[in-house]
Amino acid sequence: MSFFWREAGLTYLQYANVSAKALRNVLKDQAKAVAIRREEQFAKVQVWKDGKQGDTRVIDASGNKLNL
Amino acid sequence: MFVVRTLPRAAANTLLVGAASPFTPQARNMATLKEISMRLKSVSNIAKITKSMKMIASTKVTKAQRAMEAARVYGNSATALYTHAETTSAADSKDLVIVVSSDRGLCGGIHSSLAKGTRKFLHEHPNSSLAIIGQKARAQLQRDQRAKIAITFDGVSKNLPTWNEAALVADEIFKSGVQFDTAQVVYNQFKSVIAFDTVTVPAHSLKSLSESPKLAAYEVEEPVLKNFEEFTLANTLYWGIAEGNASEQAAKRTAMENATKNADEMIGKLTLTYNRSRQASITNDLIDIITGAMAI
Repeated sequence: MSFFWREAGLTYLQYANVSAKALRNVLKDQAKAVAIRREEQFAKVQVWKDGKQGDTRVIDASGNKLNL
Repeated sequence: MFVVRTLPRAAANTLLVGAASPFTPQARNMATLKEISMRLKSVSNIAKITKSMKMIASTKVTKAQRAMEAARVYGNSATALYTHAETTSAADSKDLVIVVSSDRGLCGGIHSSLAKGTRKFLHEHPNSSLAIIGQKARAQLQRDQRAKIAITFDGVSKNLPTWNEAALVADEIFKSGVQFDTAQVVYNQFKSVIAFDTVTVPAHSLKSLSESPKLAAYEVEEPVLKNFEEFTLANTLYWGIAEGNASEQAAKRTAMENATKNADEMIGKLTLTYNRSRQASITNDLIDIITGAMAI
């Protein structure tokens, strides 16, 4: 039993976020405004390797990047 | 002689000759009168600022506490499986220590407590790597644990914590390819408005999960377990971030309250000193004038 999205390269969290984004899009206006605000998240990542690698990447807001 | 600054010129000249030790303490007071008043003004400004920061922090505490109650449900659901399946991490497992702090300062001993707890854990489990959320903890830990850091995060939990953020962080950890058997999330647990505890909560990986003694009680297949592993890490992180946020706001409130109290104390003492110096200088002026008048 393998999941189609896993085979496509998504992790479970990305899959959950994509579904949540789709759900937020179909909410009625009032609830939608509240929910869209929750979607605007971003954070910065730095991957380290024996000291700073300075790769300050901004993580995508809606969290549904595909592994490319 | 500083005396001449405040006295009328005529009287001042009569004092220049004999102005020795009796007058020098008064001279020092006159000089510092301006300094004392400047200091008083700056300390009262600081008191105003810390007071407003305390107000802001106390409103944020209530909101953060509500978010934390909601997050607790997520966290408990994640760890419920561990208790039922009796999942444990082996003694020599490769751990990933995830330190949940924040980017903001002025909150008392939050970040140093986290760093201390992390160092203690790393001392007991030297074969671990480190993932750090928040600039403050990173600054403290990168001084001596540089080699162990695998990945760090900035700008998490700017406002109230959301599951979306925790999911992003967990996703990045998985994508970075760090190998671990168990993830240990170190965060500050909110005990009350004035107390917090630094605790460690495990989030097991697929390998540890599949090796749980009582997993057979559940009807589950491996792909689903992999989903659960990722989902659990996000849940545990969300719980840690929410509790850490609440503890931080509470600690900030306490710290600002103490600062305001100290500032008020300083203002009281400075005002007394200021009045005393002012009265002393006035008295000395009077003495000089009267002596001068008597000399005529």
